[in-house]
Amino acid sequence: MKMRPLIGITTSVNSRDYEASNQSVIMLPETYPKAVKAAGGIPLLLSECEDSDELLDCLDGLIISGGRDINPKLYNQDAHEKTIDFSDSQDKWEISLIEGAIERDIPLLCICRGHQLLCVIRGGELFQDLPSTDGYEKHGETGGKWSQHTVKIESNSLISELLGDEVIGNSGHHQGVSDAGDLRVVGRTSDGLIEAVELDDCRFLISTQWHPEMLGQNPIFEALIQASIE
Amino acid sequence: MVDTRSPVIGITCPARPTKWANWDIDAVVLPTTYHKMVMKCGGVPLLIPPGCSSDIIDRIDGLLISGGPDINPELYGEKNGAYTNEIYPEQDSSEIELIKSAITKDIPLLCICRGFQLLCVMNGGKLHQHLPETEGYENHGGWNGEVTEHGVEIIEGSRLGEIMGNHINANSTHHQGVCDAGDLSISAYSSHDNLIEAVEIKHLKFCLGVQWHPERINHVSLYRAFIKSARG
Repeated sequence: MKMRPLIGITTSVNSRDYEASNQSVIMLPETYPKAVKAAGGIPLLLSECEDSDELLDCLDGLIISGGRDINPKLYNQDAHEKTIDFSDSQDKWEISLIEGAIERDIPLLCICRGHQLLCVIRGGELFQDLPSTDGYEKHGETGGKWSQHTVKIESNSLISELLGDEVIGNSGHHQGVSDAGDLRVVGRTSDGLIEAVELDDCRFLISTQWHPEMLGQNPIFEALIQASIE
Repeated sequence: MVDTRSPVIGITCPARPTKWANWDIDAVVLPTTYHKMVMKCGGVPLLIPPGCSSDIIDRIDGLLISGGPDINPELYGEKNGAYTNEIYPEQDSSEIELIKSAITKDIPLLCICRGFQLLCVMNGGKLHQHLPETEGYENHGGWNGEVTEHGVEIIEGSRLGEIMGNHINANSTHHQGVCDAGDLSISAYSSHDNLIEAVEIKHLKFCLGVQWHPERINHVSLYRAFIKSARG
């Protein structure tokens, strides 16, 4: 019997009252490991370290999760007043994981912050605050609230094979991708925001602005796990 | 061929209702101290979320059971005491499966605080449900977020003694304690009240449980010994 694949999921470090006040804790919404488990994979959580090669050595597949804003210096912009709480060490660590996964052709799913980071790595740029960006003021909820919208998917894409040409995405983000660099844009909302990208000529790479793990979009996770077994 | 790869250490972690920005969700949470200490001592740390299949044992070189909430007293044949009000039976059972699997396959195992208590309970032991109201242990140490320190006397000839010597200072931030270690070997007692502070299974490559938090008091020697045994 083939072993179930190990899927690494990145986490964020935050300061929280946990066991004692103001502790430095590793955190990840439980929806991610649950989605991986439901799709037949073994979820393992990864936290910031110096040597991402040692992590990639253990993994069959990788998910870059949602989280805080990215340092705008990485796409040559100064920080907008709403761009706060970024972490250079987390950016550096997740960049090396994404680059390593692409180089080794490890199946990769990038979600929300992960989607934005992937686009930045591949030469793209972000809108730093959609609610104050012309044309995107009504994109969706931010700051802990959630809304849903339709995303039109290109028909010759992996996502359309898995979920069809129109999917419901959710929105709880205040930044968005304005330029996806050398990635192929395969999904946009009606306001034109880049919601999904893929990279051809690799085993498996899907990147979404929305959170498939919160919406029961199991086929995405099943496909990631299938690709990670092969 | 010599395997130069660093050993992979799985660390258990719970899921809890957690405030995150403006939302309140179930999140997997673990203090960074465990992760940092494993890295510092030469291991590659991977976090094992709750409900993870014990298949994971075949993919790691060492298992660390982290601290956390109280254990369901039914597991040692008691009813909940007045201060045992936060229990997670699913976390108990998934960690028990992982520990069993590690022991069966002789994968190096380090059990900390709650992990230590669970190891004792699984092996026929029992807990004091609330030390501050247990005769003889009223002044054991800090709990409910408060941290104190006390001496620990380590038994000569134990594995822990080989690693740490016969006396150490340990931290204390627990309200329950082990009153009976079942069929495990006791390797240490606290200096001031003789509470059981550490246990081991001698015939295994490395199987140790400690009541204190070595990662918060820089007990590098203990983590190094654990990770070294996971390597070979």
